[in-house]
Amino acid sequence: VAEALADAIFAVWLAATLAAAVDDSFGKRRVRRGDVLGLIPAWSFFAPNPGIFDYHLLARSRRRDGSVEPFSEIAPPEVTPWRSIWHPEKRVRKTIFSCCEDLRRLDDAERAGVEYTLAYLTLLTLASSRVDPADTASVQFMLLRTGAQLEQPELLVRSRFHPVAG
Amino acid sequence: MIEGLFADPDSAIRVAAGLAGVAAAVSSFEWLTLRREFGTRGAFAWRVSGSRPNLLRRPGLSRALTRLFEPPGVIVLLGLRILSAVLLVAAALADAGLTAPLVGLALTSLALVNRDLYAIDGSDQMILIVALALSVGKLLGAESTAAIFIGAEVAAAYFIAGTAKLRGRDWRAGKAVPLILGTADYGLPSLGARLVERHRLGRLVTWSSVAFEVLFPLALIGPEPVLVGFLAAGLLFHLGTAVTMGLNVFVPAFAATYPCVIYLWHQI
Repeated sequence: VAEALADAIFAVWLAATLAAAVDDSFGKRRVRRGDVLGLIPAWSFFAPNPGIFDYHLLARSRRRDGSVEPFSEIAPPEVTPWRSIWHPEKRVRKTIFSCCEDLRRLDDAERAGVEYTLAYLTLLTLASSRVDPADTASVQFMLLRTGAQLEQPELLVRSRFHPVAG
Repeated sequence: MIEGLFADPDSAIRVAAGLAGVAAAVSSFEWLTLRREFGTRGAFAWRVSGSRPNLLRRPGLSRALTRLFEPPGVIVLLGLRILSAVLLVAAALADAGLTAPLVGLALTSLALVNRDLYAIDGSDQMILIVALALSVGKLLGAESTAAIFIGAEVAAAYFIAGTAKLRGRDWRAGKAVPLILGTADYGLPSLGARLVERHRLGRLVTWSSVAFEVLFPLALIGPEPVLVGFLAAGLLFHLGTAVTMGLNVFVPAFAATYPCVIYLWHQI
Protein backbone atom coordinates (compact mmCIF):
# COMPACT_ATOMS: atom_id res chain seq x y z
CA VAL A 1 0.00 0.00 0.00
CA ALA A 2 2.81 2.39 0.93
CA GLU A 3 4.58 1.78 -2.37
CA ALA A 4 1.38 2.33 -4.32
CA LEU A 5 0.88 5.58 -2.44
CA ALA A 6 4.43 6.65 -3.31
CA ASP A 7 3.84 5.76 -6.97
CA ALA A 8 0.70 7.90 -6.98
CA ILE A 9 2.46 10.85 -5.29
CA PHE A 10 5.35 10.84 -7.75
CA ALA A 11 3.09 10.36 -10.77
CA VAL A 12 0.89 13.31 -9.77
CA TRP A 13 3.95 15.45 -8.95
CA LEU A 14 5.57 14.83 -12.33
CA ALA A 15 2.28 15.27 -14.22
CA ALA A 16 1.67 18.58 -12.42
CA THR A 17 5.18 19.78 -13.34
CA LEU A 18 4.49 19.02 -17.01
CA ALA A 19 0.99 20.55 -16.91
CA ALA A 20 2.33 23.75 -15.32
CA ALA A 21 4.75 24.14 -18.22
CA VAL A 22 2.02 24.61 -20.82
CA ASP A 23 1.44 28.35 -21.11
CA ASP A 24 -2.09 29.73 -20.79
CA SER A 25 -3.54 26.27 -20.28
CA PHE A 26 -6.33 25.10 -17.99
CA GLY A 27 -3.86 22.63 -16.46
CA LYS A 28 -1.37 25.35 -15.63
CA ARG A 29 -4.02 27.52 -13.95
CA ARG A 30 -5.30 24.57 -11.91
CA VAL A 31 -1.81 23.52 -10.84
CA ARG A 32 -0.77 27.04 -9.87
CA ARG A 33 -3.98 27.54 -7.89
CA GLY A 34 -3.61 24.21 -6.11
CA ASP A 35 0.13 24.41 -5.44
CA VAL A 36 -0.15 26.12 -2.07
CA LEU A 37 3.14 24.63 -0.84
CA GLY A 38 5.25 25.71 -3.81
CA LEU A 39 6.11 22.16 -4.83
CA ILE A 40 5.65 22.66 -8.56
CA PRO A 41 8.59 24.56 -9.98
CA ALA A 42 8.53 26.88 -12.97
CA TRP A 43 11.46 25.58 -14.99
CA SER A 44 11.86 28.54 -17.31
CA PHE A 45 15.51 29.53 -16.73
CA PHE A 46 15.62 32.91 -18.54
CA ALA A 47 12.92 31.93 -21.04
CA PRO A 48 11.15 32.86 -23.16
CA ASN A 49 12.44 36.39 -22.47
CA PRO A 50 16.03 36.35 -21.30
CA GLY A 51 17.08 38.78 -18.57
CA ILE A 52 19.00 41.20 -20.74
CA PHE A 53 18.77 44.22 -18.44
CA ASP A 54 20.24 45.19 -15.12
CA TYR A 55 17.65 46.69 -12.80
CA HIS A 56 18.66 49.45 -10.44
CA LEU A 57 16.80 50.46 -7.29
CA LEU A 58 17.59 54.00 -6.19
CA ALA A 59 16.21 55.72 -3.13
CA ARG A 60 16.37 59.09 -1.48
CA SER A 61 15.04 60.39 1.78
CA ARG A 62 13.38 63.58 2.88
CA ARG A 63 14.76 64.48 6.28
CA ARG A 64 12.68 65.77 9.13
CA ASP A 65 14.00 69.31 8.50
CA GLY A 66 12.54 69.15 4.95
CA SER A 67 15.82 68.77 3.05
CA VAL A 68 15.99 66.06 0.41
CA GLU A 69 18.98 63.79 -0.01
CA PRO A 70 20.26 62.84 -3.49
CA PHE A 71 19.29 59.44 -4.93
CA SER A 72 21.69 56.61 -4.18
CA GLU A 73 21.59 53.06 -5.47
CA ILE A 74 20.66 50.18 -3.18
CA ALA A 75 22.52 46.88 -3.56
CA PRO A 76 23.95 47.72 -7.00
CA PRO A 77 24.81 44.78 -9.29
CA GLU A 78 28.43 43.81 -9.04
CA VAL A 79 30.63 41.07 -10.41
CA THR A 80 32.72 39.59 -7.61
CA PRO A 81 35.58 37.24 -8.55
CA TRP A 82 34.47 34.54 -6.10
CA ARG A 83 30.77 34.47 -6.96
CA SER A 84 31.09 31.11 -8.74
CA ILE A 85 31.59 29.62 -5.26
CA TRP A 86 30.13 32.09 -2.79
CA HIS A 87 27.38 34.49 -3.85
CA PRO A 88 25.00 35.61 -1.10
CA GLU A 89 24.40 38.99 -2.76
CA LYS A 90 22.38 37.27 -5.46
CA ARG A 91 19.40 36.99 -3.08
CA VAL A 92 18.86 40.74 -2.77
CA ARG A 93 19.59 41.23 -6.48
CA LYS A 94 17.13 38.45 -7.37
CA THR A 95 14.51 40.13 -5.19
CA ILE A 96 14.97 43.43 -7.04
CA PHE A 97 15.00 41.63 -10.42
CA SER A 98 11.83 39.63 -9.70
CA CYS A 99 9.96 42.64 -8.31
CA CYS A 100 10.82 44.66 -11.43
CA GLU A 101 9.68 41.85 -13.68
CA ASP A 102 6.40 41.63 -11.73
CA LEU A 103 5.84 45.39 -11.96
CA ARG A 104 6.55 45.40 -15.69
CA ARG A 105 3.92 42.70 -16.22
CA LEU A 106 1.11 44.75 -14.61
CA ASP A 107 -1.67 45.77 -16.97
CA ASP A 108 -3.21 49.24 -16.91
CA ALA A 109 -5.92 48.31 -14.43
CA GLU A 110 -3.42 46.70 -12.05
CA ARG A 111 -1.07 49.64 -12.42
CA ALA A 112 -3.65 51.88 -10.75
CA GLY A 113 -3.21 49.86 -7.57
CA VAL A 114 0.52 49.38 -7.90
CA GLU A 115 1.23 50.63 -4.38
CA TYR A 116 -0.62 47.64 -2.97
CA THR A 117 1.30 45.02 -4.93
CA LEU A 118 3.74 42.73 -3.17
CA ALA A 119 6.52 43.79 -5.55
CA TYR A 120 6.07 47.50 -4.84
CA LEU A 121 5.85 46.96 -1.07
CA THR A 122 8.96 44.79 -1.15
CA LEU A 123 10.94 47.48 -2.99
CA LEU A 124 9.61 50.19 -0.68
CA THR A 125 10.67 48.15 2.36
CA LEU A 126 14.10 47.64 0.83
CA ALA A 127 14.41 51.36 0.10
CA SER A 128 13.25 52.28 3.61
CA SER A 129 15.69 49.82 5.18
CA ARG A 130 18.67 51.86 4.02
CA VAL A 131 17.73 55.15 5.68
CA ASP A 132 18.04 56.27 9.28
CA PRO A 133 14.43 56.30 10.58
CA ALA A 134 15.33 58.74 13.35
CA ASP A 135 16.26 61.42 10.84
CA THR A 136 13.98 60.52 7.91
CA ALA A 137 10.43 61.72 7.39
CA SER A 138 9.76 59.94 4.11
CA VAL A 139 11.45 57.95 1.39
CA GLN A 140 11.09 57.82 -2.38
CA PHE A 141 12.45 55.16 -4.73
CA MET A 142 12.82 54.77 -8.45
CA LEU A 143 13.59 51.85 -10.68
CA LEU A 144 15.84 52.12 -13.70
CA ARG A 145 17.04 49.54 -16.13
CA THR A 146 20.21 49.49 -18.19
CA GLY A 147 21.45 47.10 -20.84
CA ALA A 148 23.39 46.77 -24.05
CA GLN A 149 20.22 47.42 -26.03
CA LEU A 150 19.49 50.73 -24.29
CA GLU A 151 21.40 53.89 -25.10
CA GLN A 152 20.61 55.39 -21.70
CA PRO A 153 19.03 54.18 -18.48
CA GLU A 154 15.28 53.77 -18.76
CA LEU A 155 13.02 54.92 -15.93
CA LEU A 156 10.46 52.25 -15.03
CA VAL A 157 8.90 53.42 -11.79
CA ARG A 158 9.19 56.55 -9.67
CA SER A 159 7.35 56.33 -6.38
CA ARG A 160 5.92 59.18 -4.38
CA PHE A 161 7.45 60.00 -1.01
CA HIS A 162 6.24 57.45 1.55
CA PRO A 163 6.32 58.28 5.27
CA VAL A 164 8.84 56.30 7.30
CA ALA A 165 7.90 55.14 10.78
CA GLY A 166 10.28 56.74 13.27
CA MET B 1 32.18 3.38 -18.66
CA ILE B 2 29.19 3.49 -16.32
CA GLU B 3 28.34 -0.18 -16.34
CA GLY B 4 26.95 -0.95 -12.89
CA LEU B 5 27.32 2.65 -11.70
CA PHE B 6 24.15 3.70 -9.88
CA ALA B 7 22.41 0.58 -11.14
CA ASP B 8 20.88 0.17 -7.68
CA PRO B 9 18.73 2.87 -6.06
CA ASP B 10 20.69 2.90 -2.79
CA SER B 11 23.94 4.13 -4.30
CA ALA B 12 22.16 6.66 -6.51
CA ILE B 13 20.19 7.99 -3.54
CA ARG B 14 23.26 8.17 -1.31
CA VAL B 15 25.23 10.32 -3.77
CA ALA B 16 22.17 12.41 -4.65
CA ALA B 17 21.49 13.07 -0.96
CA GLY B 18 25.12 13.98 -0.28
CA LEU B 19 25.24 16.49 -3.13
CA ALA B 20 21.88 17.97 -2.15
CA GLY B 21 23.31 18.37 1.34
CA VAL B 22 26.31 20.27 -0.04
CA ALA B 23 24.04 22.54 -2.08
CA ALA B 24 21.77 23.21 0.90
CA ALA B 25 24.68 23.94 3.23
CA VAL B 26 26.21 26.52 0.86
CA SER B 27 22.83 28.09 0.21
CA SER B 28 21.94 28.26 3.93
CA PHE B 29 25.27 29.78 4.95
CA GLU B 30 24.74 32.39 2.23
CA TRP B 31 21.30 33.18 3.67
CA LEU B 32 22.81 33.50 7.15
CA THR B 33 25.18 36.24 6.01
CA LEU B 34 22.05 38.19 5.03
CA ARG B 35 20.31 37.72 8.41
CA ARG B 36 19.91 41.50 8.82
CA GLU B 37 17.55 41.43 5.82
CA PHE B 38 15.08 39.14 7.62
CA GLY B 39 14.18 41.87 10.12
CA THR B 40 11.04 43.99 9.90
CA ARG B 41 12.89 46.63 7.85
CA GLY B 42 14.94 44.27 5.67
CA ALA B 43 14.70 43.09 2.07
CA PHE B 44 13.14 39.79 3.18
CA ALA B 45 10.81 41.17 5.86
CA TRP B 46 8.12 38.60 6.61
CA ARG B 47 5.55 41.33 7.33
CA VAL B 48 5.75 42.09 3.58
CA SER B 49 6.35 38.69 1.96
CA GLY B 50 3.84 37.07 4.34
CA SER B 51 1.11 39.46 3.25
CA ARG B 52 0.47 37.64 -0.04
CA PRO B 53 -2.95 36.05 -0.31
CA ASN B 54 -2.97 32.27 0.06
CA LEU B 55 -3.56 29.61 2.70
CA LEU B 56 -1.47 31.59 5.17
CA ARG B 57 -4.50 33.82 5.66
CA ARG B 58 -5.88 31.43 8.29
CA PRO B 59 -5.34 33.32 11.56
CA GLY B 60 -3.94 30.43 13.62
CA LEU B 61 -1.53 29.33 10.92
CA SER B 62 -0.57 32.90 10.18
CA ARG B 63 0.48 33.49 13.80
CA ALA B 64 2.54 30.29 13.85
CA LEU B 65 4.26 31.19 10.60
CA THR B 66 5.04 34.69 11.84
CA ARG B 67 6.77 33.17 14.85
CA LEU B 68 8.69 30.80 12.58
CA PHE B 69 9.58 33.26 9.82
CA GLU B 70 10.44 36.40 11.76
CA PRO B 71 13.79 36.57 13.58
CA PRO B 72 14.90 34.75 15.63
CA GLY B 73 12.67 31.95 14.24
CA VAL B 74 14.03 32.18 10.73
CA ILE B 75 17.62 32.08 12.02
CA VAL B 76 16.80 28.91 13.97
CA LEU B 77 15.21 27.54 10.78
CA LEU B 78 18.41 28.22 8.83
CA GLY B 79 20.45 26.65 11.62
CA LEU B 80 18.31 23.50 11.46
CA ARG B 81 18.71 23.43 7.68
CA ILE B 82 22.49 23.64 8.01
CA LEU B 83 22.46 20.92 10.67
CA SER B 84 20.32 18.67 8.43
CA ALA B 85 22.55 19.35 5.42
CA VAL B 86 25.78 18.62 7.30
CA LEU B 87 24.35 15.45 8.84
CA LEU B 88 23.14 14.38 5.41
CA VAL B 89 26.58 14.79 3.85
CA ALA B 90 28.15 12.93 6.79
CA ALA B 91 25.58 10.12 6.58
CA ALA B 92 26.08 9.81 2.82
CA LEU B 93 29.85 9.53 3.28
CA ALA B 94 29.64 7.17 6.26
CA ASP B 95 27.00 4.88 4.77
CA ALA B 96 24.70 5.73 7.68
CA GLY B 97 20.93 6.26 7.77
CA LEU B 98 19.71 9.10 5.58
CA THR B 99 16.06 9.37 6.54
CA ALA B 100 16.18 11.77 9.50
CA PRO B 101 18.51 14.37 7.88
CA LEU B 102 16.58 14.06 4.60
CA VAL B 103 13.28 14.82 6.32
CA GLY B 104 14.91 17.70 8.19
CA LEU B 105 16.30 19.15 4.98
CA ALA B 106 13.00 18.68 3.14
CA LEU B 107 10.94 20.46 5.82
CA THR B 108 13.34 23.37 6.29
CA SER B 109 13.72 23.78 2.51
CA LEU B 110 9.96 23.73 2.08
CA ALA B 111 9.64 26.49 4.67
CA LEU B 112 12.32 28.65 3.06
CA VAL B 113 10.97 28.26 -0.47
CA ASN B 114 7.59 29.46 0.77
CA ARG B 115 9.01 32.30 2.85
CA ASP B 116 10.93 34.26 0.24
CA LEU B 117 9.27 33.89 -3.14
CA TYR B 118 11.16 36.72 -4.83
CA ALA B 119 14.62 35.67 -3.64
CA ILE B 120 14.55 31.97 -4.47
CA ASP B 121 15.80 30.43 -7.69
CA GLY B 122 15.87 27.09 -9.52
CA SER B 123 18.58 25.67 -7.28
CA ASP B 124 16.33 26.11 -4.21
CA GLN B 125 13.53 24.34 -6.08
CA MET B 126 15.81 21.46 -7.04
CA ILE B 127 17.17 21.02 -3.50
CA LEU B 128 13.58 20.86 -2.23
CA ILE B 129 12.54 18.36 -4.90
CA VAL B 130 15.51 16.05 -4.24
CA ALA B 131 15.18 16.20 -0.44
CA LEU B 132 11.40 15.81 -0.41
CA ALA B 133 11.27 13.05 -3.03
CA LEU B 134 13.99 11.07 -1.26
CA SER B 135 12.22 11.57 2.08
CA VAL B 136 8.95 10.27 0.65
CA GLY B 137 10.83 7.38 -0.95
CA LYS B 138 12.55 6.47 2.32
CA LEU B 139 9.45 6.82 4.50
CA LEU B 140 7.23 4.80 2.15
CA GLY B 141 9.86 2.22 1.21
CA ALA B 142 9.82 3.39 -2.41
CA GLU B 143 13.46 4.39 -2.95
CA SER B 144 13.51 3.13 -6.51
CA THR B 145 10.45 5.17 -7.51
CA ALA B 146 11.91 8.25 -5.81
CA ALA B 147 15.16 7.94 -7.79
CA ILE B 148 13.20 7.41 -11.01
CA PHE B 149 11.08 10.47 -10.24
CA ILE B 150 14.13 12.68 -9.65
CA GLY B 151 15.73 11.49 -12.90
CA ALA B 152 12.51 12.21 -14.79
CA GLU B 153 12.03 15.57 -13.07
CA VAL B 154 15.43 16.90 -14.10
CA ALA B 155 14.91 15.69 -17.68
CA ALA B 156 11.56 17.50 -17.64
CA ALA B 157 13.20 20.61 -16.15
CA TYR B 158 15.73 20.86 -18.97
CA PHE B 159 13.16 20.04 -21.66
CA ILE B 160 10.64 22.59 -20.36
CA ALA B 161 13.33 25.27 -20.12
CA GLY B 162 14.59 24.48 -23.62
CA THR B 163 11.20 24.55 -25.29
CA ALA B 164 10.32 27.78 -23.45
CA LYS B 165 13.46 29.31 -24.94
CA LEU B 166 12.32 28.33 -28.43
CA ARG B 167 9.36 30.67 -27.94
CA GLY B 168 11.65 33.64 -27.25
CA ARG B 169 12.74 35.89 -30.12
CA ASP B 170 16.21 36.60 -28.69
CA TRP B 171 16.79 32.89 -28.14
CA ARG B 172 15.75 31.95 -31.67
CA ALA B 173 17.91 34.73 -33.10
CA GLY B 174 20.89 33.36 -31.18
CA LYS B 175 21.36 36.63 -29.29
CA ALA B 176 20.14 35.68 -25.82
CA VAL B 177 23.33 34.38 -24.19
CA PRO B 178 25.52 37.34 -25.27
CA LEU B 179 22.82 39.74 -24.05
CA ILE B 180 22.41 37.96 -20.70
CA LEU B 181 26.16 37.83 -20.23
CA GLY B 182 26.24 41.56 -20.99
CA THR B 183 24.49 42.27 -17.69
CA ALA B 184 26.26 42.59 -14.35
CA ASP B 185 23.55 40.64 -12.54
CA TYR B 186 23.80 37.46 -14.59
CA GLY B 187 26.92 37.90 -16.66
CA LEU B 188 30.34 39.31 -17.22
CA PRO B 189 29.79 42.51 -19.20
CA SER B 190 33.21 42.31 -20.91
CA LEU B 191 32.55 38.72 -22.05
CA GLY B 192 29.01 39.62 -23.13
CA ALA B 193 30.27 42.53 -25.22
CA ARG B 194 32.84 40.29 -26.90
CA LEU B 195 30.18 37.70 -27.73
CA VAL B 196 27.87 40.40 -29.12
CA GLU B 197 30.69 41.42 -31.48
CA ARG B 198 31.37 37.82 -32.52
CA HIS B 199 27.84 36.96 -33.70
CA ARG B 200 28.63 33.45 -34.84
CA LEU B 201 30.20 32.45 -31.54
CA GLY B 202 27.32 34.08 -29.65
CA ARG B 203 24.81 32.19 -31.80
CA LEU B 204 26.68 28.94 -31.28
CA VAL B 205 26.69 29.33 -27.49
CA THR B 206 23.01 30.30 -27.43
CA TRP B 207 21.88 27.44 -29.65
CA SER B 208 24.12 24.95 -27.81
CA SER B 209 22.34 25.75 -24.54
CA VAL B 210 18.91 25.44 -26.17
CA ALA B 211 19.86 22.19 -27.92
CA PHE B 212 21.30 20.70 -24.73
CA GLU B 213 18.11 21.44 -22.81
CA VAL B 214 15.60 20.37 -25.46
CA LEU B 215 17.45 17.16 -26.32
CA PHE B 216 18.34 16.13 -22.76
CA PRO B 217 15.55 13.50 -22.51
CA LEU B 218 17.41 11.56 -25.23
CA ALA B 219 20.02 10.81 -22.57
CA LEU B 220 17.47 8.52 -20.93
CA ILE B 221 16.83 6.39 -23.98
CA GLY B 222 20.09 6.65 -25.90
CA PRO B 223 23.09 4.35 -25.72
CA GLU B 224 25.70 4.83 -22.99
CA PRO B 225 27.88 7.37 -24.86
CA VAL B 226 24.83 9.60 -25.37
CA LEU B 227 24.03 9.48 -21.65
CA VAL B 228 27.63 10.22 -20.68
CA GLY B 229 27.80 13.03 -23.24
CA PHE B 230 24.67 14.74 -21.92
CA LEU B 231 25.73 14.44 -18.28
CA ALA B 232 29.19 15.81 -19.08
CA ALA B 233 27.59 18.63 -21.05
CA GLY B 234 25.24 19.28 -18.14
CA LEU B 235 28.10 19.56 -15.65
CA LEU B 236 29.98 21.89 -18.00
CA PHE B 237 26.80 23.91 -18.52
CA HIS B 238 26.29 24.44 -14.78
CA LEU B 239 29.98 25.08 -14.11
CA GLY B 240 29.87 27.63 -16.95
CA THR B 241 26.81 29.38 -15.53
CA ALA B 242 28.45 29.40 -12.08
CA VAL B 243 31.57 31.10 -13.41
CA THR B 244 29.92 33.51 -15.84
CA MET B 245 26.53 34.11 -14.20
CA GLY B 246 27.20 33.53 -10.52
CA LEU B 247 24.69 30.66 -10.28
CA ASN B 248 26.93 28.80 -7.85
CA VAL B 249 24.43 26.56 -6.03
CA PHE B 250 23.03 25.19 -9.29
CA VAL B 251 26.19 23.07 -9.67
CA PRO B 252 25.70 20.76 -6.65
CA ALA B 253 21.88 21.07 -6.77
CA PHE B 254 21.59 19.78 -10.33
CA ALA B 255 24.56 17.39 -10.06
CA ALA B 256 22.60 15.79 -7.21
CA THR B 257 20.04 14.61 -9.72
CA TYR B 258 22.53 12.99 -12.13
CA PRO B 259 22.96 9.70 -10.19
CA CYS B 260 19.17 9.36 -10.45
CA VAL B 261 19.34 10.06 -14.20
CA ILE B 262 21.82 7.19 -14.52
CA TYR B 263 19.60 4.96 -12.36
CA LEU B 264 16.59 5.80 -14.52
CA TRP B 265 18.64 5.05 -17.66
CA HIS B 266 19.49 1.62 -16.25
CA GLN B 267 15.79 0.99 -15.63
CA ILE B 268 14.82 2.00 -19.15
